[in-house]
Amino acid sequence: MNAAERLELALGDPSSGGVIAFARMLELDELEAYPEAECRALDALGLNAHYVPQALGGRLTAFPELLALVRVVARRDLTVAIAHAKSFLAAAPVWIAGSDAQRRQLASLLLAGDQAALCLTERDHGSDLQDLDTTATSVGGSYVLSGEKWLINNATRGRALVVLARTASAAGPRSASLFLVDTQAPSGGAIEPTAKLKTAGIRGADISGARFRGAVVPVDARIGPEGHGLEIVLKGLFVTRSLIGALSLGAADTGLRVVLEFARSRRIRGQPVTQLPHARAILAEAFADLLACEVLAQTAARALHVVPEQASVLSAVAKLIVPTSVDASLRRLAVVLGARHYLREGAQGVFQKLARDAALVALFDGSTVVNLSLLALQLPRLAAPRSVDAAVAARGPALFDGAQDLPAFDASRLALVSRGRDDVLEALPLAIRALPAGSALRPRVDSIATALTADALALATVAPESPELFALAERHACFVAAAACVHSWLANRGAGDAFLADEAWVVAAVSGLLTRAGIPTPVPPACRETLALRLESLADAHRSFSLFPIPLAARG
Amino acid sequence: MAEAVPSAYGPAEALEQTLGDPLVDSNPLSFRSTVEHDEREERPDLTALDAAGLGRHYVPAALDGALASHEALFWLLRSVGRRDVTAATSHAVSLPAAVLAWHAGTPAQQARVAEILLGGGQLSIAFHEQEHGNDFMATEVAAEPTATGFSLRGEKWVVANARRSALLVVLARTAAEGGARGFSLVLVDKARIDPSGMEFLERFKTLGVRGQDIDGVRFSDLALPPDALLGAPGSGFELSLKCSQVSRTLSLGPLVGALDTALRSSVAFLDARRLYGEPALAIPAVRAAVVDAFLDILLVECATLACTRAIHAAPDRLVTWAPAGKAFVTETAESALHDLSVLLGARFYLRDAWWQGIFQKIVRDAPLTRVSHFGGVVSLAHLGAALPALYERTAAAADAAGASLAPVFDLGRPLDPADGTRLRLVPHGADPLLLALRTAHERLESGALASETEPVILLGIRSEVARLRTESDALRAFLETLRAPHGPGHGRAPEMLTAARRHAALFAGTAALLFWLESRGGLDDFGKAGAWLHLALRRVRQRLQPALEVRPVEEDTSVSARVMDLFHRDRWFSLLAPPLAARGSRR
Repeated sequence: MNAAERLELALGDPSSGGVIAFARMLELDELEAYPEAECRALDALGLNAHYVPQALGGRLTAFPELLALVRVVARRDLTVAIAHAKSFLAAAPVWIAGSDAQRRQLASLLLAGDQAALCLTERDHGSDLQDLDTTATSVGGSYVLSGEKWLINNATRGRALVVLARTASAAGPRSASLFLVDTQAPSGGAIEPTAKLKTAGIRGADISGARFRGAVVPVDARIGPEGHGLEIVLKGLFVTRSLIGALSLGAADTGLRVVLEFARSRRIRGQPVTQLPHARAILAEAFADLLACEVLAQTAARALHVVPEQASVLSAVAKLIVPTSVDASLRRLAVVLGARHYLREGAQGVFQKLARDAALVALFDGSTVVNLSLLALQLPRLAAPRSVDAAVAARGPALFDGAQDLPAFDASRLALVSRGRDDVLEALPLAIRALPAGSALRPRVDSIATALTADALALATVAPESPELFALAERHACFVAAAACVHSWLANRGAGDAFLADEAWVVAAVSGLLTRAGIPTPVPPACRETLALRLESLADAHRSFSLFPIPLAARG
Repeated sequence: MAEAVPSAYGPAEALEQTLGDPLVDSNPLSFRSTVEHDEREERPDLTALDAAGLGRHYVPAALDGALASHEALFWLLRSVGRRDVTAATSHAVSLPAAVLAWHAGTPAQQARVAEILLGGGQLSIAFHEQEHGNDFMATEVAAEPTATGFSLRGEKWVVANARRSALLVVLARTAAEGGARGFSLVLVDKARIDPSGMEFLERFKTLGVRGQDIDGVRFSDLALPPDALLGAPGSGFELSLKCSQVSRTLSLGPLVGALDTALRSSVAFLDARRLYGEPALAIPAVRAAVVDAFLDILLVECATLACTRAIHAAPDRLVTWAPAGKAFVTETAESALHDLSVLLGARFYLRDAWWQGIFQKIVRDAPLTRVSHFGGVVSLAHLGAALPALYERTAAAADAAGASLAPVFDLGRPLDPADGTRLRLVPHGADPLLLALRTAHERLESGALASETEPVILLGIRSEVARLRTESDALRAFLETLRAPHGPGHGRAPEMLTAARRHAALFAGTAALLFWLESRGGLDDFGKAGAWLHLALRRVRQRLQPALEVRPVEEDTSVSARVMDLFHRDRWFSLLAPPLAARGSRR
């Protein structure tokens, strides 16, 4: 049994009780109360240790494992998952660029159950981190922090704050530095939390801010060299953006499960709603989209180990595709639920909560627009045609085959740009060659190849920051995700299960991504039916909605 | 006629003046107060609406009310909706029942309903049941004949305002075997019943419209008088289906109003925001998204204006127009809100920041219109079932077969009185709107148009119209392919909903085109110029047939300038652009 399976069983069944029960989470949401007991229970189960690298005394060895763990929590409740896992968001830049002392300091805090908060954004600048108002002024052997950070997860509860502050007068990429601040250490000035913000979802979470009134921190609180704050933050975000899909995937599992259960029990004109073609199509396609998101999240998490040099591309693709795809699925599923999707109570009341909560994930760690911009900047080099090189072919199995061991993560290999490299699309010709004769994937993959060529030409004609460029970036992301699905199917179809061997899921997943890319591609009815049957059998067997389903905690 | 204000806007303009700027906290239905009521799950304070006599506009003039034009009523609901969807729906909750009464009530029943509404009382409809949702054929609540009238038994679910309303219109089984003629509408007039036979269940907690009362209601052998029956016995479905064409059109008013606030609050944010060293609106992709949201509003306006005017001028067409309008508007509204939320960033998610947190409230309130009474999917299903025959007959009809649509689309024409007897259960003949799309290219060749319109804009319009016509031909071919293999059950295939969705988009695009063709003379310079129409048609076509293409820069610029102009001059985001209550105006 792996760590995620153990955590799943330890947490119990959320629909009937357990450590994070749907009913209780709805109550806390109504009360806007922080899920204290639930977060402490996760600490007791050692989840916080999974945020800390093994070398520092924790249990973090492989990112796909962390992805799976957070997904287990997220299927129960996003407020809890976010409140708890946000410590990892703050810790990532420290693991990547902190000094030994800083890494040890933060590790011991997190292992002791303290929380960390990443303080980046400000009220007036949003995602623009190159023009901050919060300053860190060098005075003697110290820095003096002044200003206010806004919209910060765990800003009030976090003992450790990782703060981005201006150290140069001119705005720009080298204008800021990053600091690790222990709010309980003696300081020459004050650090005070600002009021909890009222949010549409995760109403119980601690989303607040931090005000620095001339807080004095020692010079060794600075993470990395002065002026490197933004670069370090970006690299940390490459890691967390690769993993954040876990939140959306958990919400998608429960959303789909609630709607499926309702549709199976509800009869219209004598037959269950699951047999109405329209509802069945929505369920099947939501499942296909979930699987596509799973593959993309898995690939991004594995890529951190296999090709961290390309994290700038895959993390952006995963971050901009997964949360938005899940949001769109939930909106369609709501239609099947009818009036019940609108109720904050009853057996389906959890749906409106997770839908509200999930809408926030697209904003975290750099919004969809930020990630589109990052991809757009790299697009000219990514779009240039390349022949498949041997290294790409050799890395394929490690990237896509779930059974392959992963090399240790090497943060020093993270790069701000991938210099045009992207294994997933570069290896597409290999996948095309490996497709079985008559595969329904063939015409779909061909249309990706055709579109990539056309888009490379179109790219030369569009203006910077234009909507056309953003559209091309989004299409590119869809193609990367679709290609990842094809690779993943080829690499895992022999893993024993008839569903994995069948191309139904991947045809449906790729069709959905092509449609999103603006190439309307229907899901063949036979694929839809295979997916619907699989979905029903996973629900019957009480297993997670996944290519590699895990048993869920038993009911009652 | 640069600043012509449509006459139908008159009552709404007066209401705007009465209510003042919703950004001023002390005004009635200010954003601050509506968000606070929502937080506390309290019904919004509707006294200002009652004082302004809004309820009189629900009652026909013949019954001493002020309802003469549904177009005027729609503007009123839009004006309330831009302040608070919950207030608008809590007040207009009476409309579906009122429409039924005006359509099918006896003089005595109509007089009673008018008395209630004019006295400030409210009405509800009770259709849904917990186990059956929109499957009204499975309705279990039964009205059994007794020696003294009827006995009503069973439970209704998610009934808006059941507790407060003076009278409920209940869909009940009157024939044990059910079937199309097995259900009737009965009036439960609280002043005329023994209250012990009626019990209210715990109020529902909802995602949005948290201040609106939504209850369950249980009837335990409730005795009703013989004149409780509304319409003929067994006519429950027929009446519901016909009257819903009117009431579901009106139900869109609050949502269309809320879109104005959603865009206005986003523009206000972007106007003040600097990103990466420049104003956010200087970023081309940001500006394009603002333009697209405005185009969505224009399309939604044209679709709803067509339906509201058709209540008077083409009631026999509403059987397909109303569901097309409802489906298009609810889906477009939700996608536009989603697109705007991206522009607002974190602020779309905050319940007390930026314009008092109104945006997140709109996002939660909006789906109500989709899930409520004859909602989005039900509309698509109705429409899908009607489309194959409609397209076939339209294809077979001569170009000139369609009646003139000028009475609907010429905004300068006064509307005839509404005539409910012309509402239909199934569409007849060819659809004049589809015929108009088919022949529009001829009208677009006219010399007058060419002399008044920039050649590049006219060219753009012609080209988009040609492409929409191709889309409509493709849809007809698609509907034909659906007929054969699926047999008589074809109307329920998922592809049928897709077809209905595509038709709904064509409906909205064609409505925009026809308003321009018929009403250009009365529009201001921006409306006349037609850049908006070119871009709006392009947006519809892109929804049907996505393509990567470069946006027409000049037209984009003129439309974004219009958005900013309307924003700064406190005018509705609308083709007609009538004035809002002035910024800062206090009641």
